[in-house]
Amino acid sequence: MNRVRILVAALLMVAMAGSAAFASGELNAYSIMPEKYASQVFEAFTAETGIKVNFMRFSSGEALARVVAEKNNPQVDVILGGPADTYEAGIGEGVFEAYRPAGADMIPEKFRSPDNYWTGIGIIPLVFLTNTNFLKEKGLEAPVSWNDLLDPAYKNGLQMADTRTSGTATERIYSLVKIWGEDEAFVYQKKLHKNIQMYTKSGAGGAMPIATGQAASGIFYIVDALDIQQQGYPVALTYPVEGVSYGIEGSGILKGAKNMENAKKYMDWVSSKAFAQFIVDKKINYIPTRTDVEVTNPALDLSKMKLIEVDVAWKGEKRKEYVERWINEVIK
Amino acid sequence: MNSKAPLSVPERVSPFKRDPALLPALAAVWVSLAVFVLYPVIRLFLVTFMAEGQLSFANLTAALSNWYDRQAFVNSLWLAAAVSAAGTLLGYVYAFAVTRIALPPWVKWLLGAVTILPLISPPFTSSIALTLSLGPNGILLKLLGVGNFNFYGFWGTWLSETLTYFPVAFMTLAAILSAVDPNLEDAALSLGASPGRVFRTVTLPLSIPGIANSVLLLFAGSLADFATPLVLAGHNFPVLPTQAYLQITGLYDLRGGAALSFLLLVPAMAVYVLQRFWVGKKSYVTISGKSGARSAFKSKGRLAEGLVTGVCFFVTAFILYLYSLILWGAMVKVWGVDNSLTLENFRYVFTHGRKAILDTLSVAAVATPLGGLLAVVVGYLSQRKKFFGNRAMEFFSLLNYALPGTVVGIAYIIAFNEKPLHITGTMTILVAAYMFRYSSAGIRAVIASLHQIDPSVEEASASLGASAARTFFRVTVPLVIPAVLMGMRYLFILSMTAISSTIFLVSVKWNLLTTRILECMTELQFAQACAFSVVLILLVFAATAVMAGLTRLAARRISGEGGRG
Amino acid sequence: MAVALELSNVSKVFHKDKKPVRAVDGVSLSVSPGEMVTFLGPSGCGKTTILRMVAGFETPTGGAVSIDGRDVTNVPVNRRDIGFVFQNYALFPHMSVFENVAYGLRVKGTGEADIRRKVGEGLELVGLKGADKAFPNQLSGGEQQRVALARVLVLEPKVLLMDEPLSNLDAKLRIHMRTEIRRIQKQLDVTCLYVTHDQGEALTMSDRIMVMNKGKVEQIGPPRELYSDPRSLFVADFIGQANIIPGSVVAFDGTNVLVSVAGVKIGVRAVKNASFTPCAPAALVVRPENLMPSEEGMAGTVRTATFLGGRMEYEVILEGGGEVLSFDPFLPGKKTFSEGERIRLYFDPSVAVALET
Repeated sequence: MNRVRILVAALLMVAMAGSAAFASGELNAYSIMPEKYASQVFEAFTAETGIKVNFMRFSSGEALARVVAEKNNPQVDVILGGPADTYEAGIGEGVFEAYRPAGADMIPEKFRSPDNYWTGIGIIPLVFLTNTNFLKEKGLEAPVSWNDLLDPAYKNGLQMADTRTSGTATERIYSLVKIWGEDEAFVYQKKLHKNIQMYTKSGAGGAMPIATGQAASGIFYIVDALDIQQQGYPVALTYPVEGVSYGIEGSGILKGAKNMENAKKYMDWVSSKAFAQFIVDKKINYIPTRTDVEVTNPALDLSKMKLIEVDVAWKGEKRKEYVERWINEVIK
Repeated sequence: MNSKAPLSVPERVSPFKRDPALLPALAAVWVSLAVFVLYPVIRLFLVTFMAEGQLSFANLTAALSNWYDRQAFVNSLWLAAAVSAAGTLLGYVYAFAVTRIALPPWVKWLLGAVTILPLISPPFTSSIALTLSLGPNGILLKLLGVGNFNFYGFWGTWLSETLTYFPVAFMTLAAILSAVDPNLEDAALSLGASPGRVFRTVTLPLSIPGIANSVLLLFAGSLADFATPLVLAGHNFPVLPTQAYLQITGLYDLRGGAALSFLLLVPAMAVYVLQRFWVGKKSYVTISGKSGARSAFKSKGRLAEGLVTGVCFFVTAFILYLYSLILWGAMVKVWGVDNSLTLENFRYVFTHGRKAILDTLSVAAVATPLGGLLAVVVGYLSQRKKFFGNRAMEFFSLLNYALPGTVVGIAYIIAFNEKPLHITGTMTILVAAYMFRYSSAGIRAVIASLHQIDPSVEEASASLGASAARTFFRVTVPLVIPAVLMGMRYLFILSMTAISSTIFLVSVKWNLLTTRILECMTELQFAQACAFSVVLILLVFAATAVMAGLTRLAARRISGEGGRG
Repeated sequence: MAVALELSNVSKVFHKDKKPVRAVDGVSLSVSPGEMVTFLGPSGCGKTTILRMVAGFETPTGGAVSIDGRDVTNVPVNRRDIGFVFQNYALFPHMSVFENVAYGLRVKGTGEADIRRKVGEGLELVGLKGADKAFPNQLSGGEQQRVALARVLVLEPKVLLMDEPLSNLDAKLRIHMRTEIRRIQKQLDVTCLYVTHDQGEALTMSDRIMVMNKGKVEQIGPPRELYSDPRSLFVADFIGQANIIPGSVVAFDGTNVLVSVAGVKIGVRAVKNASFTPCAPAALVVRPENLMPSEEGMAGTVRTATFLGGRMEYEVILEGGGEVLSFDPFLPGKKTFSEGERIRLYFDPSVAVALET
């Protein structure tokens, strides 16, 4: 009997060890930025500051749901990446801590939260990603207008993100609403729906099927699309003439962060010139928000695309309404 | 002392006094069941049925009035029915081939071995390979010259789930079929029945309880499956578990998600109750122990044998092909573009995935023995001790398994995200989720093996002067050890491969391999997803092989069952 | 040291499908030290339940059990100092024969040397010397039963309780084992309760037999008394074979009764404590071996005639109605009857007993 009791006690202690208080000299983070970038970013941060980072990657929706759920006892200190409207929604839930990082002055105001709850660290326009083998086969040119995607040649060939889970998808709707107005935007999407093969859970989910030829084309944030091209897949990146809106990749501190000092150091670092230069050098395809860094990749040249300015607060306000309209009008 | 006085009205002594270890054991089990099974479900009910502090059906009606969620409910049931029908049929074909057809031993071994693959791999592994094969522009589609077939939706999900769950049917049915005495079939043949008639009138009716059990198991499995539809169902075939997940993670709507998972809970409970009180009561096959000489395999007719064997070979080849594809995917540089071999993906797994591997192994390593202990204690108490509520104890101990993982996960985050039991983000919550969800197989195995051990063996120990505790540890435990080890093996496999409940429970500190694979898949890192899957399968395979060896060692010591010897 | 055992008005009520079933109904019994009492009855009569209550596996719903003058009704099994031998032997399959027999000694904390000596003696007592390394599944049924016996006997229990210990053995072994068990029981002078549904076992082994039916005691007494003077039709029929011949009472003097059977008046012994009234129906119990073909007596027709070696068995349909069985010792040259033949059957009135019906 005693031996068993000891065994049970030992096992319970092992189990409890997991809940031990976080040690100092650490930073805990959720990353909405893809894991392969986030791991590089945090590695560089650790190399720079000596602060060890634990992180997990989530889609923006998951990350927000988690930090809201954990509001009373935050499990992490900061969030890396993710669209600014996610942060705006979080501000409404009271989960963020205001902090104006050291390098904020070099970041234009439209890329920052007016109340310093989040700071933009990169911007990412939407782009069309199309499989070039598919184009050759069908004798088509890469799409240069939103309407090109309505071509029956794309039937059952488009993969793009599901509005309910993906910031990429809502960005798509914001673009369309700004170009054509609300009703027209949904009429267009209903037509587009006929060519859809699959709506993917994450914003980038459709990119690989397009790369491998399972799907023909789709609409993505530049960061995901360019990654596919850089891996060597036969894809073309094109911007529509009507224009695209862009996402602001943010970063912010959670209210009640257990490692507040480290969180602030982190915010200072991601707002620094060193960080901006780091993502350019490492081909992490966000266009830096800082104005003092040179972008080398032509696909990231803002002057080559027609950008539509969309107010972040408006995005946050409209999101839920558009998602519900999308469910009831587009995919029904 | 005079002997007359006490003979009047003897005072009744409670069983607790007779057996001092009983009360603490009971209390421990009930407290843990209350905390980790009942409490979360009650919290889920409260969240679903309370709005602004009042009892309300608003959350539920909101879900039911939404066409998309209604569709998801119907789809879930329809998919589960289709998967359970197809999986049971395929499982029966396999079981028939292995138990009734004279195939060379190595063929039978191969059929059995290949069906283990889906059982020990994470649920969406076959989804990856299936997408590459039958998805748009898939390898097989190109090979067969079928163009433009939309695989996403019902067909893809159905196919993938059928391949994932049919081994369960196979194992259930093979056990039943091999217990059906071949002499009965011989008797029917000798009475002039054709092989077809023998099958229709003897073999099939005798396997009905097994079929019913398999149908229910697969129905529940498919109903609860979360990962496959997440990858394959797409937007036009919503099902409840994924819908509940999207509701929470996409729309930040915990109440809505709770309501959806409640909808899922209703059919799951129905299946559970059916299985326990209907199928569970049906006696299976009388195992006499004195079965006659093993009958030689009789021909079942060339056409039937050919068909059965053909189906088995085809499916086995297909599964092998799918898994080779995963291995291939893990070893090439860029899938479909640069097919040169590389170990880079495995390097990635062992560097970036190292923490997830260690976390997963630790969680499984802690949950497995604790679950084994739970299985012994619950199985023993519910089976051997007569006290009020022991049936209820058994029922609740198996409840978490009957509930879809999504429901358990959501119930856990609702229940354990605040005081007094704030354990989200810890290893404890993962261990608890696995321990209370996946001990079920062990509990059932312990109960089954206690059924076979005549209570007189334990009574003999007591009559020889041993205390209840001594009897338990010296007699009962050694006899049920093979069952416990079997249950622990199962628990370990599921702790390594499950995702539906724990996707809500992983944290920065404790991450799991399965969530990493799913993430790789959503993050375009297909090669890494494959490499993770390969590593996970190998880990599970190695660990279970060790445990299987232990089981066999333990079983050899107790050859022969119970007191019959 | 043998001890006495006493059951006082013991009852046990089980609940089956929510309905109470009286498995044992007010049974009282006093067993003297060193006595062997057999509980005999059809399955479901409550005999095993009584034994299990004496052992402590079941708690009586009412009444009390005392061993050696001490009320043990609520004492747990492991503190009753009883030895229980199970129908299915209940050997521990994961332990060797030695470990099985040593089990109880280890519980008691006996020293290793003593254990070795006692286990050796125990195995020798049951004739299994040298089998200590075997595992139960390597032994035959009879050997397993002996191990079970040795396992109990090494503890020198005050009371030995045996629950149909021979029912799983084949016929020949059963006969051998019952003398063996009786021998050991006498040798060790241990009080023993023995449950069986086999009357042969009960008759050969016991000092006294307790016949039970539907939870109640039908009769308690030495084997011969039960056979010669059954108190009830049930006992008459259950122990040995009995012809029940219906008749009616003519006169009764308290010990003997004059009964009219098929017009013939016969004076026979009356069952104890009977109260026959004239003209009331009575039943004569005559054992088949006491009912023999003769020149005179009851007339009938042979329905079947079976040769059994030592004797002829006749099933006879009586003229006055009813069917009886007659055993006639077979002697070369003696007349035998064949089927359909007329026959007369005679019995000595002193061997018959009259029961109330």
